[in-house]
Amino acid sequence: MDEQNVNKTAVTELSFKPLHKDPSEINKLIRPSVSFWQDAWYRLRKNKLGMLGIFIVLFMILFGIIAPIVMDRVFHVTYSDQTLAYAYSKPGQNGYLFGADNLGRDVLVRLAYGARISLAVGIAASLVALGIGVVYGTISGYYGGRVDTLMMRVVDIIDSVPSMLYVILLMTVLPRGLTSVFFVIGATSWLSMARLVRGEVLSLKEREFILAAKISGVKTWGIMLRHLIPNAMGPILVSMTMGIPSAIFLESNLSFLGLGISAPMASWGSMASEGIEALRNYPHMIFFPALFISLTILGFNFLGDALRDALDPRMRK
Amino acid sequence: MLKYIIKRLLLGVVVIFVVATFTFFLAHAIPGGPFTQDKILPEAVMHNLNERYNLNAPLYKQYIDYMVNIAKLDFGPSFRYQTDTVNDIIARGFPVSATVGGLSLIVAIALGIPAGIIAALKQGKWQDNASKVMTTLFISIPGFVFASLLMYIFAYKLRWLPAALWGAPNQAILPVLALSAYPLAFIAKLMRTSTLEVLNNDYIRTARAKGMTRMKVIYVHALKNALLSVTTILGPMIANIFVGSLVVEKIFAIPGLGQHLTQAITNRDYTMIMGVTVFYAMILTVCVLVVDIVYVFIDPRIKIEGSR
Repeated sequence: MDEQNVNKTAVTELSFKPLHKDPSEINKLIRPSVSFWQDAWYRLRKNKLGMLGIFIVLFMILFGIIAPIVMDRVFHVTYSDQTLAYAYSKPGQNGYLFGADNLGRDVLVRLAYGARISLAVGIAASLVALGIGVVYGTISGYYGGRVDTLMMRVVDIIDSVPSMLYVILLMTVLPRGLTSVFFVIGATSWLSMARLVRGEVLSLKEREFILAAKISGVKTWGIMLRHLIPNAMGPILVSMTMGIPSAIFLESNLSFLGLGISAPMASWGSMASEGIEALRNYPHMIFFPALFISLTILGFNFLGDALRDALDPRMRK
Repeated sequence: MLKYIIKRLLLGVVVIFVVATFTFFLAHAIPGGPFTQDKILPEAVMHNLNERYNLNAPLYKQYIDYMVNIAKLDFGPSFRYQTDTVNDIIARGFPVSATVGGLSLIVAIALGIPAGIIAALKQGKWQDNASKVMTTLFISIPGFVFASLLMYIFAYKLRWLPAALWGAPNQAILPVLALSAYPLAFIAKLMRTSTLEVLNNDYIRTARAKGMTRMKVIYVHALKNALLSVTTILGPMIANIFVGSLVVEKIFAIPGLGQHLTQAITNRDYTMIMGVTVFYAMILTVCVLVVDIVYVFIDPRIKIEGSR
């Protein structure tokens, strides 16, 4: 199918060599064939913004993992430490690299825990969305007809109202905590994934290889799991990467409004919410969480754009 | 055409019905009811409280009453404010929110469209790159970051504008700017793509070949068609402005509906949350509906089945 197309883009000068005269040699592959994923990786590597995105994302992950350990072992500052006397310390003052907040807690350590929470929310919520969206979209697209119309109408109805409204409603009822945030954001952001998968499945199911699979007696579930979903993996992966920043965005907005992660846990949104109260005199309290959220979302967006270019050659211009 | 409009209207009604139902059952799923507190209330007080909020009737009866009231646009009393109904609070807060939101939409359209067109006409030049950087930043930076940045620079450092509150016209500038950042970037991005697309069409080449000046071609042909694509995203933009307004109203202490909703969430004022949510769902549905119907009328390319 796309194999030939894909190979063309990876061709370099080295691939051009005079062929042997011997006719039996003509059909022999001179270079090892490049798989779809190898080729995608090759294209991704050439995308500077995409690599910057990967770098930012990896930095945030490492920061979330390593920073608290280093702060604990080397500087003996932990998450639960607070020195009220040093409240509102400016960056660099009293040994706080990024300053201290209104309760005398180290901003750097809280930022690192915020990174853990924001990234966990982003990834978990997009996994929940992936699960619901892929199952829903595959069923809707594969069965088609009335089932499809009904299922897509349901998506349209849910999608007519911004997910923030559902999130607010659900968060007021559910117990506060990380699990609720995962669930609620995931449960409200699967719609675009479902639409995408449905579209892919609709076109894929008409292909010959699906017909071949049906004729050779593969069961419906087998066709969905072995043939339809793997072939839609490229767009699904792109959509997942794009879903992570929106989940982080939503979580930070929620925490900012006081609906997300509850105190004393720190998320970038709740830190910014505390920071804005002290904006006039202690801007460092909001500066760092704001910078980290923006960088992370920017990084994921770059990565998502680059992945789309790398995985979907048809979309390239 | 009429069939399409009726279909869209019906869908709108279904949406509001679903949201209202969802809201009702969610609120009733709260364990222990809304009056459970640390202090145990006497039986009789509890009974009267439940009576006032129509909580003694069987669930199906409560549901029917609730839906009938919503159909009459009556969102009921507030749990926390004894003297105010949800309708009073909506009447007070919504005009403020609508002003901020409407102004933001106007700013976003007024700045986003030219930005997108310039970027498309100067494709690859510095104007295009500048607009690309701006749109990427505005889309990636959360509203509260942008709002606090504006507040810090213009209200605290430069002292040009007031930091918060509502009433004077200059108090609207910062919130409107903060709220319009995302839609502005989105419109500019879309406008750039659609202008580029339109400029590649055959009829543009024909117009140029006939001797029309470049500017005239852009005004007469390109702009009109590119504008249509902006109309399609107005619905989602309005929804986005709603979400943004929750945050922006909190930051700038604007007494709008978003602020009341945030307060209701903090106060666990369930009837208020329910009422405001359903109200928002209604407003947004109506806005999207109007946009969709207007779109059908202004785009000659659209032929809906059954309208020939």
